[in-house]
Amino acid sequence: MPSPFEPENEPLEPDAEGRARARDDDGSEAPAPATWQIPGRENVRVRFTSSAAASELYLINRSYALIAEGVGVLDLELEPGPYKIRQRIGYCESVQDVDVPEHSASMDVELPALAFPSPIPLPGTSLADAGLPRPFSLGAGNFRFVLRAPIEPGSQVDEGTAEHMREEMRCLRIECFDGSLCWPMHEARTLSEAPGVLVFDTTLPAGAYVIVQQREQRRQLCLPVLIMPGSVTAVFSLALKDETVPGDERLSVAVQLDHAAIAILSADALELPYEGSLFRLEAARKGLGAGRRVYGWSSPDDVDNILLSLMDVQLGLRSVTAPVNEPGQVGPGQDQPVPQLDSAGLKARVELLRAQLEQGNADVSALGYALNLTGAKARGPALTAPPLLRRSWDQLLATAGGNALLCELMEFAFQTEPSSTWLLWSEVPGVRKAALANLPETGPAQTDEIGFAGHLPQITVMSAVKDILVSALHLGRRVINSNLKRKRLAEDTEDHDKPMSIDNVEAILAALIANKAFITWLNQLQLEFQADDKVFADESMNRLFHSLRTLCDPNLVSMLGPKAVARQLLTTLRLPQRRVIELVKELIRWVVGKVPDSERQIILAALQQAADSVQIWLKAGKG
Amino acid sequence: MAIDDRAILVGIARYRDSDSFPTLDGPLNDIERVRDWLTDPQGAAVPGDNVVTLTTPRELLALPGTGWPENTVWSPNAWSFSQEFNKIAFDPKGEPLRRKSRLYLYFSGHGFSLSEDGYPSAALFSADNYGSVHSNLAGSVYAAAIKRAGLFSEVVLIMDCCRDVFGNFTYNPPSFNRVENSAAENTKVYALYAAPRRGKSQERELPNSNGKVVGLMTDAFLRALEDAPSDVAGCVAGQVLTRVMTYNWANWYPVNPLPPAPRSVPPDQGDIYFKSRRMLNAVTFTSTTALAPGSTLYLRSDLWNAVAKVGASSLIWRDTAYSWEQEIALSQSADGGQQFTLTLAAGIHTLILGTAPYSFDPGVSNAIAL
Repeated sequence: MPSPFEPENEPLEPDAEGRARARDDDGSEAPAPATWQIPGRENVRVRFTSSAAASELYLINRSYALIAEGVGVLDLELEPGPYKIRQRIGYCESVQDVDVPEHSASMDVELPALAFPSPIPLPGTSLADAGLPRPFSLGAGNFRFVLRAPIEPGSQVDEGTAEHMREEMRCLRIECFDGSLCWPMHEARTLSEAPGVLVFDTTLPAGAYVIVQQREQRRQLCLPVLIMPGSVTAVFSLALKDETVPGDERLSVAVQLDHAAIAILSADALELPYEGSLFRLEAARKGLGAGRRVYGWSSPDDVDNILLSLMDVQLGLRSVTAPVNEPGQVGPGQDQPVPQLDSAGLKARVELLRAQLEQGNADVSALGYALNLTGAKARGPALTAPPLLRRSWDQLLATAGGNALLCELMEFAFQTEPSSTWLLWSEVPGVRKAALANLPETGPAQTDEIGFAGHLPQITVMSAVKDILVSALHLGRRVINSNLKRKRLAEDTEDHDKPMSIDNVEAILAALIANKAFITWLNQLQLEFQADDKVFADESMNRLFHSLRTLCDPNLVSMLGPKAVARQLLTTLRLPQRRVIELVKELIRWVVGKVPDSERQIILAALQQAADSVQIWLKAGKG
Repeated sequence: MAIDDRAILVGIARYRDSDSFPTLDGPLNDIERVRDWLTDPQGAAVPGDNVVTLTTPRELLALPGTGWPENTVWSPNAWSFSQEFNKIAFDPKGEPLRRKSRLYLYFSGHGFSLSEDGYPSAALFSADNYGSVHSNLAGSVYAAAIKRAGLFSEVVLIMDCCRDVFGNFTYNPPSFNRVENSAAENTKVYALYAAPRRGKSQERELPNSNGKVVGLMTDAFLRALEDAPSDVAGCVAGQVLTRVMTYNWANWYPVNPLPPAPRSVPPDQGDIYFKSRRMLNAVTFTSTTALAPGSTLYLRSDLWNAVAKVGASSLIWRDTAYSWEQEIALSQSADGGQQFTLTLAAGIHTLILGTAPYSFDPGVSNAIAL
């Protein structure tokens, strides 16, 4: 007999914009998702459209089965009946009930705009001021930093907020990546046509730059940006107040570079309607930051929006490499297959990006490694600048070749900072310039008794940390995983008799953790230092030290074993391997210098047993 | 009754360091509600003796006039949880019991995630945290360890706590070794978190909470068990339960700003099923002749379309949109035919066997002759 079911909810071909369509059923298993055949009742072609085609869309039927998901627009053929369509951008979302009526040929559902917060003053976002000029009309030149206080249309910022904004701009500057040239932002100007906005704008030669934010006396936060020929780079940030405190007691919140919106548009596009593209850029940025798997924000007919393309490829890549764990999505082991990655399409888009960006662009290199366009061990072109995206950084770290490239590029003491979308690192003022511009180091690091920032040896060869850092690609659980394995691909080279490898330092650290004399001393030290004390000038050293204090819990060590604890400790640094080696060596030197004489020989003997070369490089002193 | 299922419920309302961890009003109420559901024969049907509750002791709920004595034991804490867990997972000699049943782990209190998490994870702060002294009840790590060791066949992990991200902690590991059991891959883990990473959980008084403050996620979970469409066995699949919460979240809790919806992590394989809290009816279908193996049955209700493949001794039913799958036993009827029983909600249903449609309402008739 004929099946009483007919195909239900059949997705149409991708539209001209090439937006992703995904369905949640299994085409390989018979029968396909089906509907009850009722005479005279036919499927209805339904098109769901979100504002600016920017929302992630998820459609469920009456049984709460996920029928389709995608970005911006869904074109489907649906059985008449009740549905729920969920749209979201970042953590903003709404759900709408939709009844697909019988006896209708087609139906268009225009979803209400999702007013999500964005630093870019885009119409339709929750913090936009309708009276403001277009985003790229704020300022001139090929670089703009726009700091904006959300205010009611027609009103002015209060003096306290204005002073806070000026103070924040005084903490900011843009400088060449090598630190050779610097443009402080303290001369940011107000715009008469845009109340509540401070703009620093200038024209810079094309190249790699870093936005530097001075947060502490001896610490600064760095956000890499690119200036591309024929393009304008704009960074938008918000001056906010702590809304959890009532009334006038609200404190102004420091500018959060991780939450900044960065847009790089072709100068030719600035006269075009680019707002929709920026809307999607922000949606993609929030999706990337939230770890989403849906992709399809960029389209061929969009304005030239290089960052949107970059983020979209990253999201596409994630759709197959990440575990499925979003609400409403099914696990890879379940009956339904996850949407197939258009690998060829992604690779083609990476090649397109490669053609648009200069050779040695770190974000493109990272995609090359992640998509196997470049072999994991192969050395791609030398990087000209750090990646803009945090995910690119993690992807580069995860391969031997990428790790080596990063190490060559970042030849200075730094610590990557927790961030969701952009790569952020912190550093001691002056160390980058001293290392990259070959200038003598100046700055407060030298005055620190135990600081070693800037004294790191020149980096030549890197080994791989593929396995310990593979979690950067979110391929699995990383919580206290004693089964982490590391491939020993290459030794580092140093001016000591015997080069140290990451395995050596891990063994040394494990020996230290297993040493009772050290643990006893460390426990005594607990009383001396608070968890957030800055014991070292170098933030990475502080993190290593405080992580060591935390992880040297006797129960944890006995449970996992010292080697697993040591490995976990090193993994959490998220730094190129060579720098990890240097940090551990410096920590050991510090410990050996600090412990009482009575304990020193015991500890040294244990370390010597773990690695013969300990004595050699301890004697060799710094670097 | 889920005779061998076990549950450990942890609710922490008061912490030693009340500046860092403000007192919560919801956890103890949440524990009460979850326990009621777990032990309800119409709910999860876990024997009462199999449910362990670790909650803030009564003496810690009221603030003492002159400060806490030095010897105050702040619980629940990592140690007390570990002790209770080990009691149900290991025999007196420390050998794993490896139960072929389900373990419910429920946590309500202040929680966190780690900046280095590569997978959705969370832990509850122990009640004895203060200053730099830290320990936690790492629900996600326990769930993973249970799977690795094959200690239970199913784990339901529910964490109604915030997921603020910290970088200077580590999850306290379970106090048993890391030997991986060959059955590990068969263990299913369904995890439900109150918020996405960096998100906050919320507690508040709700219209249906009898004047008590309750956790929103816990409320949503219990409510979804009532509202979710059940399958042919009267169960709700974990993924359906998640979607019911997600898609009704804003309607159920119209608060401003709307907290993010709960986050769930489905099992690697298949799904975990919960008994529906709806009023359901058992309907027995009897055929005078044996159903032909390999043949197909179709069933439509107001809520779903389902299809079944006839096997030698069972029917494999599944929603046509793959929301759920259930195996229903086929038994011999007195007259030499076969029969099977479905557990269905009231409302018009239509079953097709061969070319014959049978319309029925489970709320009206509980026996259908095919």
